[in-house]
Amino acid sequence: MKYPRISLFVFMAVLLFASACKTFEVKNVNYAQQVESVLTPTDNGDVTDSRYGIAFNILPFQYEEMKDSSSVLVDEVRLIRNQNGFYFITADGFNNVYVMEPINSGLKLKEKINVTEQGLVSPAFNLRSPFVQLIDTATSETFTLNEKGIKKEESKS
Amino acid sequence: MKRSLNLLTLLLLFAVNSTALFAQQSDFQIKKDFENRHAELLTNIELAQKVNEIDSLIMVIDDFKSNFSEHSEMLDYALYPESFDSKVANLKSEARSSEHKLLIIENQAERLSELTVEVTRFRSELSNLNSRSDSLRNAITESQESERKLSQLVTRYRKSVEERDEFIFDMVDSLFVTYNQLAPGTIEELSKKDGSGTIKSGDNPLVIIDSILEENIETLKAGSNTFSTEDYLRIYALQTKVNDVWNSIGDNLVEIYGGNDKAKWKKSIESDLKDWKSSASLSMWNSLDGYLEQKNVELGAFDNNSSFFMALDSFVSKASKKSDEEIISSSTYEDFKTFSEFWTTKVMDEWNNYLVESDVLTASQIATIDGKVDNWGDSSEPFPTSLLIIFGIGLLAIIGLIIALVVK
Repeated sequence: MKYPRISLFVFMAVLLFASACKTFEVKNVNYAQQVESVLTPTDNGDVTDSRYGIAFNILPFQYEEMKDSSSVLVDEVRLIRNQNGFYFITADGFNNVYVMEPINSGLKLKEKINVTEQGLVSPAFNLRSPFVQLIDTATSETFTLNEKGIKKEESKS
Repeated sequence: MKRSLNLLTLLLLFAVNSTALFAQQSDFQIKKDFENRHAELLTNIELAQKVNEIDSLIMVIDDFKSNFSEHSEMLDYALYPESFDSKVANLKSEARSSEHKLLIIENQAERLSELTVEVTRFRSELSNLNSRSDSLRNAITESQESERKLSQLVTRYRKSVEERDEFIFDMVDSLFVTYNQLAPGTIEELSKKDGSGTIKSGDNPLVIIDSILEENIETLKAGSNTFSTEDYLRIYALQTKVNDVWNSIGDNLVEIYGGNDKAKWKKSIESDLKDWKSSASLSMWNSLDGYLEQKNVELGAFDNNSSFFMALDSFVSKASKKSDEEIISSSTYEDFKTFSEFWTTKVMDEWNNYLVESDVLTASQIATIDGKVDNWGDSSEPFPTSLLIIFGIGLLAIIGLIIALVVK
């Protein structure tokens, strides 16, 4: 029984070493997009950002927000990515900002940040690293966001 | 004035808006605003029609730059692959280029304006010369005077037409030099300025050229009994000159002064030029042929530049060869004297300028024939009689000497 234990130990060590060799990581990558993308949906809700290379459908967001995905109800979709790689998505009429994490062939909700109950009239994102600033240019309300939620709410300027 | 006010308004609006604009705005909006203002300034540069408008716009561009400079870093990113600096530099470069172009146009417009004054003077002078020639022509037609007085009238008429032709030569030269100096690319702009009716129809060079053509066609029709070969050569040379100048600057003149009738002007002038050319050419060749026939110089048929040269060349070569074959007799010497007189007094002297200017004979063709005429002169000159007598006496003396020696 003595030898099988040594063999198991050696096997585990080799496995660990091999897996360590396979993993190659680069840290401190900045995914930040300096200026938001303003995307106009097609009739079936597709939006495409050709500069940053992302395309998705806005209807699931719209359904989440308005419980209606029968037709496209938003004029412009606002999209920005922070330095950690999370997408911040909102649109006119939305009460929330959706923080989405890129996954294999999809976007996964990381956080749904409620910013208003009246619906954003004219939202816009600015990157203010490490935060994302949300402005409703119609009301001049601003919100400082990260992927966890509202960092600090500022009074009307 | 209105444009200047517009620019001032633009400047004020820009100053007021730009401070309030960024109070609470998205970066995207700033980028969009930057692009819109950039496009607006580019349009204003393109539409500017005076150098001082461009100067004002350059000030607006400086303000534009300083108002957006605090966002230059964000704009560098947002405008990629262009940048904040490259966009501003592009505006300045366009403004400078436009300013340069407008300076040229203003300068050209000034030059055109001076020329319009000159054209007016041409018109008045030409009108005087035409009316003088016309009245002399009428006087000849209606004259019941003696032959001597009629001859005086004809001489005055020919002199008057000659003066008018010389004047047209100078005028066409002046037009050519001035219009040919117009910078390429400014014709369209000048056309917008001057084709819009700012030029009185009488000062329009196209009107003057058209009247010159019509007057000359008329002169040729009316002057068949009064003009000499020299007159026809001069008219032909003048026609060649006007034709050449028209080919060089006609399109520009039509573009600038043709207004809404560009095609009509072009067609009319080119048709008149064609008529004048065929009429001047026919009259000149007939007159030249008649002159040579009158002088008993049998050149053979010719009716254009090359056949005239060939006829001259062949005539002189054959005559020279014939003279070479004659050793003692000199039957061709009289022919040489006749031709030589025509050649030296007419071709080499009185007609020379017109012949060369109108390409009836080129300078090198004249030089070629002149060389052959010299050779012909040398070979056709008769053996001097005195030399023949001396030669005879010498021969007799030798024969006498030989006989004396034999007898002795």
